[in-house]
Amino acid sequence: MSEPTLDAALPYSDLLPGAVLAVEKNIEGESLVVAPDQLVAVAEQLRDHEGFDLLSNLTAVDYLGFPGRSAADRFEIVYHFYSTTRGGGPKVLKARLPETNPALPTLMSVYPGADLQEREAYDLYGIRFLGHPSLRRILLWDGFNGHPMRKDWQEAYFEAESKPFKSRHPVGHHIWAEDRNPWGSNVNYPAGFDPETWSQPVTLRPLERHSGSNGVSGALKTERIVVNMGPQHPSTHGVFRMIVELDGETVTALEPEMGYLHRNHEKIGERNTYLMNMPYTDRLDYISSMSNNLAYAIAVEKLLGEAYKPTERAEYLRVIMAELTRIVNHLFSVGTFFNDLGAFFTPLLYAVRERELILDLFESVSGSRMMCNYMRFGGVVADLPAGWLETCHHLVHERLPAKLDELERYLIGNEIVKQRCIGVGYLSAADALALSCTGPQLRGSGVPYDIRRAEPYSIYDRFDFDVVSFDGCDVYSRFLVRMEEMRQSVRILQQALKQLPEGPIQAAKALGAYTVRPPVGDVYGRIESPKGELGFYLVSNGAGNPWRYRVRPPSYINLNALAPMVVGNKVADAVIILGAIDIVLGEVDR
Amino acid sequence: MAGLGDVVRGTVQIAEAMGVTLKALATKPVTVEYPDEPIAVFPRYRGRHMLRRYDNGLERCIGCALCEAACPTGAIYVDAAENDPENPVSPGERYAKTYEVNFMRCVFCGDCEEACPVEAVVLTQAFPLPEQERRSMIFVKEQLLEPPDANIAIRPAH
Ligand code: SF4
Ligand code: SF4
Repeated sequence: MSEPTLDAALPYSDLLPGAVLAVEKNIEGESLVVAPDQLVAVAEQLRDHEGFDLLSNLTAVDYLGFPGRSAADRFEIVYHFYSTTRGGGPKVLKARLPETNPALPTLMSVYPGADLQEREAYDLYGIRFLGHPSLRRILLWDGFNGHPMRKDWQEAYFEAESKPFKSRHPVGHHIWAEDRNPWGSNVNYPAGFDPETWSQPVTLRPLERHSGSNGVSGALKTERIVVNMGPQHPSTHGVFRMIVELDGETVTALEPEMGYLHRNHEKIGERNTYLMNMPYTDRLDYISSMSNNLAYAIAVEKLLGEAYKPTERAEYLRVIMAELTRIVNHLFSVGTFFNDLGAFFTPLLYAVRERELILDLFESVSGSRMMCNYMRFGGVVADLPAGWLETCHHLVHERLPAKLDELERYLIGNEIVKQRCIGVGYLSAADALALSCTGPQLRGSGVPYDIRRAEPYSIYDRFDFDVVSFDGCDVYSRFLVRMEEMRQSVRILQQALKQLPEGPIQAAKALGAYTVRPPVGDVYGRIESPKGELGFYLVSNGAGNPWRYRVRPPSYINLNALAPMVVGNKVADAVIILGAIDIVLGEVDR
Repeated sequence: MAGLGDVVRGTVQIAEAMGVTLKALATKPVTVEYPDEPIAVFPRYRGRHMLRRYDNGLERCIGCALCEAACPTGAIYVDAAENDPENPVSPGERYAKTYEVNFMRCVFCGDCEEACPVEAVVLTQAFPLPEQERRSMIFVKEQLLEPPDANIAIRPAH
């Protein structure tokens, strides 16, 4: 993989001598291998002098047993930086760490948004980020033994490296998991962990600083209290917990807790062949499965090369599905947002009624309303059934524009909505970027960054649409962004339906290609999913299943901004601020 | 103090809102009284599996286990055996002696259907699969050869 270049030719050899150790060529460009101790300096250089203001993706890879790797460079931390002002491709940094005691400095001083992703890398790989203020497990629980994404960690029941698991049926029928792993002996605890004496720490980092008495103000002695919102709370859109510290009704500190829906999607992805992962991606952000399919297909196609370039018709079908998905997602998100506001279910049903019609279209083309499993490498799985285009045409040209007008008339100007929303959940543009926010959250802070325009994928460069952004920096702006983006999606759909060509729906080479074996290399493919930047970072070792399968989940990373936005607001506002981030726990917890 | 204009505007708005409500009263409800009424799905809907037969009654499945290999969740188990030439079960050399689908694992992705070379396993439109216990969620070949009966209407293509 690596092509060592001459020292003098290395980038930054004048500014930061010794910072860059090598330049690696890979499938879509180059990446810089940096010395871990110089990482922060290089990141500062990138941010301050080269305009790479968005740390998009941060992840770890375990190269145990990978050809050409040894114990001295077993782990690799990969960073993808983008520029929201210039657009275009990423700057990729890699830091290599040894097997024993892998540690490197945190990037939180430069990009505070590294927070959640670093915690995730620590949780799943055991990489320590020195200087991280609260390096705790995030997706798994404290009594979990080991770091499951490491290649030498084996889950009890799934002992085989790849599917199909022959060990499932050794005696000619199914073996029940509970027979193999009787309850009570299926858990190992880490050294020093005693489940009997352990209790969930509620005094978490920001809370520790604050907790305690509020002092005596006048004659009244008040006290701050810590309250769990969730995991069973209707406003958290799933099993998500916010630990909030309250002074009266005002939130003084907040800590998000997640992982209740964690199933280690990424580990499962490493055991699957590339194609088998497609139905799994449906279940990430289950509101917008078509977008997830698209992002994954784009990433794998980058890895596979030109032969798997989708056909023209397939490209159009993909764009049509992705934009319908955006409408579905935003309708749902706006609807549930009004639930959170207290307009219980009436606006949601108005929104969901239109969503149902789009889901009908999905069902008739792919066979499932939500778990579409529609895209394939090099195309899509099925062509449109008879009558589909007419229904879609009616929806896109007549019904949706009218219904969006209606929704807008009912919702946008509403005085109560304005009073509840305007100025709530303030997130400045600079903070949004620093916290790695993407999607409507970033555009609601006035940064017009849309990957469809900044680094067009598929055929988005052929369509005429506006990048929506509002600079109110509050939940109202995020809501307006979503409303307006639906209109832009309708615009794209109108153009795409008009231009939709005839022809095959899958690249010739891709037909019947069940097991693809991409060349060795790594690739990061990303799209503007309805929730933000959805990326897949894939490492191939030439085998039929990925060596590393990483999802960059937009709503998980947008949660970086939750605490800064909520603190200082009332509890009721915490609910709508969370609602305006638009999280889906299938994706947050993976 | 609300002026006369406000009163008029308010009345108009209330009348408008009532109009929306009354219009909704007159339209047909979109809800279906399932299970008393059949629910409609599209022809491509991916529901319970079925193993198909040829017209002459022979099973299509040749026990190649490609569906098992393609299944992302490991829901299918195929055990093949040689056909008896006198009394074949399938037209090929081999047939599926055991064919099981574990509906606790299956996610109805349809990849098995795509992988099958002889179109033996297909996903039907039947989705109601309630069972009383875990063990009966594994459907064996005899059950899968039976077309499912379910309270389902197939929607016309739009
Ligand atoms: S539908 Fe998908 S999950 Fe179910 S048995 Fe077939 S391949 Fe497996
Ligand atoms: S159902 Fe099809 S793919 Fe599966 S074993 Fe039978 S013939 Fe092979």
